[in-house]
This record gives sequence, structure tokens and C-alpha cells, in this order.
Amino acid sequence: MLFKKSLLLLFSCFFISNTTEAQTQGSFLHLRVYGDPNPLCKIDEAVFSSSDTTFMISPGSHHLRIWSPKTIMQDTIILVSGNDTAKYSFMMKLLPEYIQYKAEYAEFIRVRNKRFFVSPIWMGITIGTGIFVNKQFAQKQYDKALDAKDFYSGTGNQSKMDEEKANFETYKKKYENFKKIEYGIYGVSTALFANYIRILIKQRKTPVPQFRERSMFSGIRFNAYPDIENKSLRYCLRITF
Amino acid sequence: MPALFLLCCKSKLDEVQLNDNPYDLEYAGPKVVRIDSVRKVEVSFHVYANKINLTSLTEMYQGVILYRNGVVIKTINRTSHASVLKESIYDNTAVSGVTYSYTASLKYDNGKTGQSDAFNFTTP
Repeated sequence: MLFKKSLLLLFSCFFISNTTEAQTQGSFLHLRVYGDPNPLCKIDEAVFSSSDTTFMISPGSHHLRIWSPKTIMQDTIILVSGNDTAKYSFMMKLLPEYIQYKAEYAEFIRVRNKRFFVSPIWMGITIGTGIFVNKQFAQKQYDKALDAKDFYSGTGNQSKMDEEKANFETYKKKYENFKKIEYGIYGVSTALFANYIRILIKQRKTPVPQFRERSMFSGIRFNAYPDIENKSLRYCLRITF
Repeated sequence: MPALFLLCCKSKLDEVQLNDNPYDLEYAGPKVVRIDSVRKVEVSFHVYANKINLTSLTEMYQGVILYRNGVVIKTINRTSHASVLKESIYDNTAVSGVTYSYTASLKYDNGKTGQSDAFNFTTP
């Protein structure tokens, strides 16, 4: 009786164990693609779009191709062993023409920003310098000249009047010289402004670098060949992906 | 273009003329003192003098100089501080029956203005 119970228990354990193992059996492929969020993947004849996926697949070797508009297509054979999860990660490399486009676009932006902002900065600096010259130098000489005029008007002493006349002329001369400098600076600013307009027109005419993304349809090839037996011309459309 | 540049540099200082101080030898404005009237008055018992009434057209003066026939005969300090600047000067040495040509000028600091227009008066 005890022997029968032990045998029954052993059989039950064996049966449950086999059933559990049968539920977890199967081969899986965990595919991870870096470099593009939505690559187009093709395993044998199945096509899907994902950058991180796990799915059941039959064991053995499979033909895997990964494509995206801006990267070099991956074309490789993967091996999936039975009752296991094969993990494959791919780093998509950018197309040379896309790398070149990125460099050209970055250069375009750099030149555009330089054209947009350098001249206004210089214009601001020159105008600020002109105002500074006016406030710090010209205006002071102007005020001193007017003070000399007031001193001249407020005295009855001839020698003092002569002295203030001389002071007035001196300050007036200095004032005029500073004003010439100030207006010269404004002239430079005006020239910079004119040049800025020219640069803006030039920028407007500068073409923006374009990158023509490849589509799946760009891979379509047209073939035509003669069918000698039927005496006809056959046509064929073929996609390389 | 250079003319436009120079036009930009033109300022109010160009309009300032340093010849509007009446004490300046190069003064080019109107006369700032005038003799309004002269009359003979009795200054004390049987003592007579010519009273010269004059008006200053500027407040900037400290005194008045009186000329008779071009010669300074009297200098007085400013007495009027009102807005109407009237002054009176007495010529105590005038002789009856003699015609005098009176002029006046203002003084300030060490300077003096040009003389007023002459006022001829025959002492009665």
C-alpha cells in the first residue's frame, strides 16, 4: 500500500513537471535596434516596424534585414536556438550622404546665425559707442562752453570776459571734434546696416541643404526581358528589400 | 556728403554770440542806460542843482557814472533794486545860463558800459 502511494506521488510529480516544461517551451527572439526609433525589419518574409520587440520564432537560422531612411541597411543571418531567447542588438549606422547633409546643414545654420546676429551686434556696439562719446565727452564740452558763456555774461571785467571768450572757443572746438567722431561712428553704423541688408538678401538667396529620404519605393527596379518560347516581352517589378 | 556731415555737426553753440555783455568793449547791442530828464531843483535853502533822472535797462550794475561834456563829474552806487531801475544824480556845480551835455554809463566790477545818448540841458 505504501509502495503504491509512493509510486503514485512520483508519477504525479513527473507529470506536473513535464506539463510545466511544455508550457515554457519555444524559441524567442529579442530584437533591439539603436539609431532609429522606427526601423523597418524583415525576418525571412515577415515585415514589421519596431526598435525593441520580442516574439516567438522557430529555431534555426533566419535572414534578417533592417532598414530605415537615414541609415545603412543591415543584412545578416541570425541564429536562434531551441527553447531559448536569442538576443540581438543592432546599431544602425548613418548613411554617408546623411552625415554629409547633417554637416552641411550645421554649417548652413552656423553661417545663417553669423549673418543674422554678428552685424546687429556690431551695429549696437557702434551706436552705443556714439552715444557714449556724446554723453561722456561731447556733452561735457558743450556744457563747459555754455558755462563759459554764462561767466562771460556775468562779469564786468574785460580781462575776465576775454578769458571766458577764449574758453568758450576752446570748448566749442572740442565739442565739434567729438561730434565729428560721434557722427563718424554713426556713419560706420549706417554702413554696417547697409551691409546687413545685403547679407540678409544674400542669406535669403542661399539654398537650405536638403536631404532626400529614401523610401521603400525608391528600391523598386523595373525589369523587362523577352520570353522566346511565347514570343512576348515580360515585365517585372522588383524591390530589393 | 561732407556738407551734410558738417550740417549734422552744427549746434546751438554756433548761434551763441559773445558780444552781448554791455561791459564788453565789443558789445554790439542797444544802449543799456538812458537819461530820461534833467531839471533844476532846489536841494537846500537857495541851493540849486541839476537833477538828472536816468533809467538802466539792465539789472547788472553796481553804480552809475555821470559825464558832463564828456568828463566824469560824479559816480554813485546803485540805489534801486526794484524791477524798474530808476536812478537820480545831482549836478551841484551847474551854472545858470550854461548848456551842458549830459551822458551816463553803468559800472560793474572793474568795467563800465558805453555812454548813453547825450541829453543837452540849459540850466535856467
